[in-house]
Amino acid sequence: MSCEEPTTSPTPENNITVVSSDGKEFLLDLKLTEQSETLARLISNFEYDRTDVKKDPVPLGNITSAQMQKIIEWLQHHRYYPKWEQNDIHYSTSFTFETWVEEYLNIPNNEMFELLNAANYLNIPRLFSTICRIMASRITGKSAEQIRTVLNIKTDVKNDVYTGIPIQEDSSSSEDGMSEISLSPSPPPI
Amino acid sequence: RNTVMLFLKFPTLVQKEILVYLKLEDLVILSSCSNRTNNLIRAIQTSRLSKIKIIRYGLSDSESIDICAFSDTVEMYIGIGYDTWERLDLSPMEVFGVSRVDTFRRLSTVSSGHNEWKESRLVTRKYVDRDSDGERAFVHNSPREFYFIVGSSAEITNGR
Repeated sequence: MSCEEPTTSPTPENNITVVSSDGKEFLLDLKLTEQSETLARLISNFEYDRTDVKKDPVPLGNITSAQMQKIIEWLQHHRYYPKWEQNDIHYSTSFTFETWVEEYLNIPNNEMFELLNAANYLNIPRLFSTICRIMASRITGKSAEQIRTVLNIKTDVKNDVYTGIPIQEDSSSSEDGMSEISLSPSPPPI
Repeated sequence: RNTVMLFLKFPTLVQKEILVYLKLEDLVILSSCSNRTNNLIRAIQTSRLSKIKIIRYGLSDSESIDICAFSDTVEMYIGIGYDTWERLDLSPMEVFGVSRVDTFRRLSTVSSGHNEWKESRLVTRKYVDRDSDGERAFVHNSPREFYFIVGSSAEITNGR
């Protein structure tokens, strides 16, 4: 998706200041904050969109300056995108991303998870959903053993289906696991 | 670059959102990774799993056990090699979140009262039906293959 970017120059009236958990201040265009439901609601409640209202800095105690910088980068890129609609994305199997998004999210998993938390805190649905979709794309189409590696899942104790007694899996066999599961695009005819 | 995701430590909200994007096939494989992933999928993907109307288990000469799940919109198929199957002590129903004991109980022919299965024949195939909840099951056996199918009687017709 690409959007034409009209040229606008930010003015002091249409900015608010947010403060990250490490005390760094960021000047945010009100237009950008529309993508964050948390900030948009706050601005609406305090009437910060009015020019005659004094705007106090907004503390964001859960977000570091590095995360805030990353989020502002996202907000600026999607500044002129249409409002995010949570359509029926369920069962969508599309894992195609914009090149910009792939580069933007080409970060270590721990950073991506922190960004996900920040997106959830600020309620930026497009970013939240995109990160989850990226994470799902790293699972889909993989064998059980590959999934275990990617998600750092250890095989655990299983209960005997007849007795209900926990049985410890043999470590050598659990390494192999379900790696021989194969997928086929369609079922064989009945 | 760190490529490991600590999926099981993610908040439920995040796990749920990620699982939404996975196909049923991926869910089945993920559920087989460990008891924790199996329980997780049962807990937060119930609505999707409940849409499966028919499950077919097939034993053929392809040296694998074939499991097919059918819903209104999805036809899913996975094949698991016999040796893998035996090593994992995994029963077919378990991968769809139904215990093996429940499976046998559902299909028990010795149960009485309203749970009783009644034998019937539809065109060319013999079925067992349970009137209380409309469940239907049948077994197909030929020199080359063996199928065991369970699901709603409204969904299982002679062609399936």
